[in-house]
Amino acid sequence: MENISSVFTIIESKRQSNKCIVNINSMMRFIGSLLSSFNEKISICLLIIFLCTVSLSSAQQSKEFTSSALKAMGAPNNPKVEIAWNRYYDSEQLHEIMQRIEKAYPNLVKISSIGKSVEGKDMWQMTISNFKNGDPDKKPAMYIDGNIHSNEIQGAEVVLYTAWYVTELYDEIPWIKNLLDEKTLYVVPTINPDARDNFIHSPNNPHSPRSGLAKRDDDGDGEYNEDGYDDLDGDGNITFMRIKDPSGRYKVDPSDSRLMVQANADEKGEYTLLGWEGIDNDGDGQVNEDGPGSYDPNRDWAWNWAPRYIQYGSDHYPFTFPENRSVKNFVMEHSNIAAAQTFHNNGGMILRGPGSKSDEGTYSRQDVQTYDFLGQLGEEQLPGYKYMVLWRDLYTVYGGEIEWFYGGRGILSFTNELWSEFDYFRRAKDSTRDVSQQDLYRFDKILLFSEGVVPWKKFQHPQYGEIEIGGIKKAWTRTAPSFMIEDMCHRNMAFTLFHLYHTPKVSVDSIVVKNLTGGLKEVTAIISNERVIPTHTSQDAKNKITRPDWISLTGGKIVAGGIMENRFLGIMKEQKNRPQRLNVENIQGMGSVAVRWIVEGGNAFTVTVDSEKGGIAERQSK
Amino acid sequence: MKKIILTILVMCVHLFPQYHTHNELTRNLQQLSKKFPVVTVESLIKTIKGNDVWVATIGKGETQNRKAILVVGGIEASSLVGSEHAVRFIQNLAESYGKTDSITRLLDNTTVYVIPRANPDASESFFTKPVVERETNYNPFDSDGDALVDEDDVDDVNKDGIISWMRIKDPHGEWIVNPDDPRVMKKADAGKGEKGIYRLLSEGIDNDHDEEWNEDPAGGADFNRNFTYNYQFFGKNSGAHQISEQETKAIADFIFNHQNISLIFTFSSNDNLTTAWKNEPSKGESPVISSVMKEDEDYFGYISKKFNEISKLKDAPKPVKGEGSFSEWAYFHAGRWSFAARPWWASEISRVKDSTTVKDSTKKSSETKKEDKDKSEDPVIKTLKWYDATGAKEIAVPWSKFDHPDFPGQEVEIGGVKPFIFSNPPAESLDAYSKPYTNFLTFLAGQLPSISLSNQKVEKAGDNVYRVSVDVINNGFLPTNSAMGAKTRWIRNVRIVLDPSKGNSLSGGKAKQILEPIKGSGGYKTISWLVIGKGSITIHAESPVAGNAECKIELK
Repeated sequence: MENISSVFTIIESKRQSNKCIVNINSMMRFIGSLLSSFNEKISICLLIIFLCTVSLSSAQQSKEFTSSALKAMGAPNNPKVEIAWNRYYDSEQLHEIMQRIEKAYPNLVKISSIGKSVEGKDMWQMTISNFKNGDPDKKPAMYIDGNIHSNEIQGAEVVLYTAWYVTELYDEIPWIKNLLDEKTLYVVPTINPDARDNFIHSPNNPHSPRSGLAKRDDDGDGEYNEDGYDDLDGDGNITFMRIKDPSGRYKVDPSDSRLMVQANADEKGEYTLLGWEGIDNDGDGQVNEDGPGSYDPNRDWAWNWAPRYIQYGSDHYPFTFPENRSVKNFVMEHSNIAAAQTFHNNGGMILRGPGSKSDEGTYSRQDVQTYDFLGQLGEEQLPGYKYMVLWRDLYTVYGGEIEWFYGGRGILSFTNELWSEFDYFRRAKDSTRDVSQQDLYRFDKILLFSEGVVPWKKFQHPQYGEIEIGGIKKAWTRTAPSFMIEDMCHRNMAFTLFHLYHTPKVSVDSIVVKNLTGGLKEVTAIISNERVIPTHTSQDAKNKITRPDWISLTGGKIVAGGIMENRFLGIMKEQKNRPQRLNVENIQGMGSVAVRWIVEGGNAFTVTVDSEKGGIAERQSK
Repeated sequence: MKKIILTILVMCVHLFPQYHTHNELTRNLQQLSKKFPVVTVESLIKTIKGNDVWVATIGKGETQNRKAILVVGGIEASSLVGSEHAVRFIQNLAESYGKTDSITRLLDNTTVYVIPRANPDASESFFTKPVVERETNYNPFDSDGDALVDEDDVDDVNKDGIISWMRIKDPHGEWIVNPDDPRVMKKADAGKGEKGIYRLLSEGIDNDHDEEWNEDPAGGADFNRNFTYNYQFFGKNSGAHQISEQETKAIADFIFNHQNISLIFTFSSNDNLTTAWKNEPSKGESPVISSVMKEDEDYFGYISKKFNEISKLKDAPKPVKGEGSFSEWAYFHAGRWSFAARPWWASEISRVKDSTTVKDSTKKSSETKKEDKDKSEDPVIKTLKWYDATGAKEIAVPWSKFDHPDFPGQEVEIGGVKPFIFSNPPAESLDAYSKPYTNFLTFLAGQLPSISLSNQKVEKAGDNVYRVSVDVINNGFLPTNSAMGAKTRWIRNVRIVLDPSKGNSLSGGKAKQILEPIKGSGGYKTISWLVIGKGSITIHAESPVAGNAECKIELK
């Protein structure tokens, strides 16, 4: 707690000093113009000092400075919380940013820890909603997380950008305001903080670690994590090892000397590739065979779970890992969650379940239509992204997170694979899935000025002798380069916000009161769902995961009541037990149900609909 | 006073022929561990009701570094008899250690773990009123999806301290009185021209007025439905998901954390001992292994044969195929040799009856028929006959009329066979029924793989160049890994480490290597190396499930 408050103090003082700097700047400008007639050398010196101070202050620009700029559509001009969306933050930095947002918008944001990681780090979660307009836990909600695969790092930034954007623009954009008034976002930027920090702070390649950091004996020798990668050249990246070898089958690519390609069938090679940087640490004749962790946290979910002889990366049983167990508990405790989104990298995909062909039957035609509606919207918002079914269009997977959301909880859920092949050169759509190694190197050369690749250099390897080390850096090819992060964040956020928008919204459309004989009245109400997602997906309704929607009447003594099977023909199915609170199994997306009561006495009636995933609404009869 | 007597009796090494409450079981385990240094008792987890799930470790010294078996009782909570057998088994081992050579030798090489009562909260309902057969723990669970939790449990409507049955006269009912025994009801078989005249419900009232009775009782999950293999999502009492309960998680974690456990015995109806598992060709495209693997089948067959020989128990009811069961999980997902048998069934008396009838040679053909009929006889009726033959009384509540508030104007009767009767024998027969299991489990603990190194050979290939080889032999009965254990990779294979000593180097072979499973009863693998140097080398063989061995070889 003390740490947190001290962090705030630092931030505050930074802001103060920035203001001073800007004031000094304007003074400098004034002095500069006065002095311009003086010695040219002096004025150049002053100019340099001036430029330095401007660049120092640009990270935390003042309100006065930014408000005079023309607001580009999108980001806020005067954010209360200034965040540079051009780098990747570690778990502590993410938490600090979350705290800054919470502090700036206490009526919209609340942070809490949903549990601890294997290494004891808190898993920070933000609840985002207008807290002054109803209990956020009773509003239709969406759950969003990122970074289950720790190397797939940018998911956390997309999630955090979403939290930042909707809070900063709440007052400015009516669509955002309405959304947070009516609905709730539960976001967890990283659900794998241990390994996220390992990815950032330890030597890794773009693919490591995919796992969390619970210790596993990958090679079955009774020792744990005894032979991981080794950063032999000490540059913080795990790149490749090659050895000069006249009988090797690899050669240098003619188009880029940093790239290795296979020699042609009728051609001699020059090198043998020795795999990722490392040594045989445990002397078992294998290199890098037992690194940190080594399981797949996204094969650890209960729906359609399979043991590891079927599903690589699955572990003891569903929710073996505390990070996933905490997410599961959070979701099960929040039955208002009607939508879910997880972020991975890469490939430009909007994925939905099922993960295996055998699970096709779980996805009803009706729910697939809703999925299709949202998926197609996503394809429009995310050029280069393709809406796909996991098993059919990607690969078979058992025990994935989004499959549990739908299969286990009846919640419509997507995984987006961030950073697509299309993003490199934005070529015509038909070639989006066709990016070669040469393209990656080309992009690096002409847009990153060769920053993304470690050039080959010699190294004396204790086991292989003289080798060379080089290749793609960990932060390149799976993660967007700095200048494309904001674009990626915004477009993906737009997709999830529309998903949230289309979570069910119930309303009482009309109440018609008809006088019957003997002082009895017939009260008929039409209850609607104004959005595309039903109050209960088929999987939810079939397995009674969340309770039925409750429709109740007050204002008179209820004699009987029920749900209209056909409101045009006036056919009602009576609910004998407790007719004052009718149980409606589901209200379809953009659909309605009619209910009817026979009431004794009363003139003014109130009809209330209370749906776990669709919210609460009421109306009085005229 | 009662406590003192109990303590004395335990100290005198005799358990009461009675069913023990969890407190009594706890006391007995603690007494055993106090009296016998070979027994230690630890708690795996505290339940919602504050009970400990105990695990007893029988063995001395570094028990975790020895090959081991695990015995589990009470995974089907309403079957208390298994818990009683399990405690007797612990007691028998403890008393025999240091006295009976075979047991001493066994426990010096093998660790025996016993979880006598896996679900103490549920099993306790045997002792508390109203008595009700309960399989689930008390983890709150909304069984009927109405957002109300545990709101409609059974009720002792007639206040007799027993939850029995309610039959309601109803022309749309599906039940009739069982023509073979009026104490029990039977579903009308339309194929036989039977027409139902009763509804049958467990005793209770519709507490939440939803026209369903006892549909959302207290808790929870049935532990024998909560494991990952063939788990039924959204099934009755199967829990929120696989291993959703702290107790099942604690048990699974105990097993995964004990790499030395290669064999598990479970007291449960998912019996594979009276009838052994058979390999069946897999169906369709499914990657799931759903029958015992071909390579493992014979070992299951042999152990099953030995069970029937040693226990001398006969006429077992048909094994139950599990859904999320513990014992099937233990083999198919945790990769352990897994054996299960019911801790009791009505067997003895039927056998005696058969032998008396067979004596009458004149009626042989008709008797054979009768025997067939007996075999196909409903186990319910068979069990009731068994009780009647033992002279047991009061096993059923006589059906009697009750004015039930939920069924105004309808004839309601409450009665039927009392809880626990079908799964637990009278207390006085506990001693007799535990012996076959104690004998079998002692045998079973002796079947684990056991490795040694022999047939060392050194061949001089040149100056300071030696070809060294050694055989890794498995003298135990079971292989060093089952096919399923290897498949799941939860059981470690034997690892051979060659320490070449200072100055020597290895030119052929690996300094460390992991071997494929080695068959039992003398199966072996020959490993060879090419060593450059002189002096001696050391070879270690290590296996958590088959023991360790070491040898030193002189290079000459």
